[in-house]
Amino acid sequence: MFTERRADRDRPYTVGAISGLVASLFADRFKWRMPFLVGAQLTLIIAYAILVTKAEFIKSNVPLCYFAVHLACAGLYPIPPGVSAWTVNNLGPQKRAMGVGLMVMIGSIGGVIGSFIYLDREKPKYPTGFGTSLAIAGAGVVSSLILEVAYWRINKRRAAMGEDEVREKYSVQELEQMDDRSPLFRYNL
Amino acid sequence: MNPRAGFFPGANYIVGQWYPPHKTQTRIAIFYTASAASGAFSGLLAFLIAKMDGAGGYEGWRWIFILEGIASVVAGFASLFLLPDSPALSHKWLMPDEIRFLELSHIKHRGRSAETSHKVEAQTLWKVIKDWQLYFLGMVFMSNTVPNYALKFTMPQIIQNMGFTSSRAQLLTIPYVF
Repeated sequence: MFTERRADRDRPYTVGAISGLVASLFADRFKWRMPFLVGAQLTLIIAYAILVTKAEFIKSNVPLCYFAVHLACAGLYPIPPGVSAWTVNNLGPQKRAMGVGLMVMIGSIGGVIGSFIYLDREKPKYPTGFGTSLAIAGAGVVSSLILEVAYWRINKRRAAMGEDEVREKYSVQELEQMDDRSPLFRYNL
Repeated sequence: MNPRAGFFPGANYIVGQWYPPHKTQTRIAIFYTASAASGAFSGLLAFLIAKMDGAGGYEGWRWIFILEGIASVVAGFASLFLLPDSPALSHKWLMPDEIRFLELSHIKHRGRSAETSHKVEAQTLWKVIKDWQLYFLGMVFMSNTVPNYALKFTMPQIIQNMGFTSSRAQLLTIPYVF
């Protein structure tokens, strides 16, 4: 009994772990982070949409809810490695260490929010919890897309300026000080 | 709640010091996946350690804290000696040519870091705080950390309705919050 129940609990997380690894392998292979982040976020939104509508009538929807939990894990796990790599790759040497720290700190605030929105008195539907989660996931999709467009436009603008032209305009020290704002820096999409 | 909060920024940074951009995410994914896998493993480990109940006059739950705490401290100290921050500090296990290769590859992909001082670090902190991109990246991260908690509450209900008793189900759905 013990192992059987553990397996029921562990299966969604196993799916999540595999999803996180596979998405990361593809993102590295194609050197493109955004589609695998947005894909994961949309998977998460579908999963939570199922859960928020069916959680109230869980007894008659156990297989569907159990499937949705797998889907939720598959969407949750690719996000931390994806956004971490995106941040590490898009900061210059000067800002990299502190910048990653700030990004993870903002993400961790989400953990604090998460621990307050699933209210016991709203059991089993948790409208506040699922509502906030869906809104934040939607905002995450929008953020990914805003970053993608911004990175693409900045890269295009910088590519229009030749390296010789840049070197003529700025000294080596100035370029170092600009970090990822240097016209020679290219963002990872 | 989350003793590993300091771990991931450091781990992500060190991966960035060693690997080029197109090899970074897979390495970072291994950290996060290991965190999930250890969640599955730690339940079993705790179950086994709890069987030491009474040994040395200590209850089983105390043994869980003692043994798992010792393991973390030993791993922490070992990493001081076994985990160099960058190729430049790896003379003990890399050939000079290999170090040179990794350093040049790093500079090519990620640039060279300038001289640092306390004054420069204060300026850098300000640059980081002003960087609007980091707030959007943080928002992307939050699309994981906020919804993550739902599983803690829905999983017990689902597993319970799959035919298990409530307290047991609650015990067995302790979430893996990294």
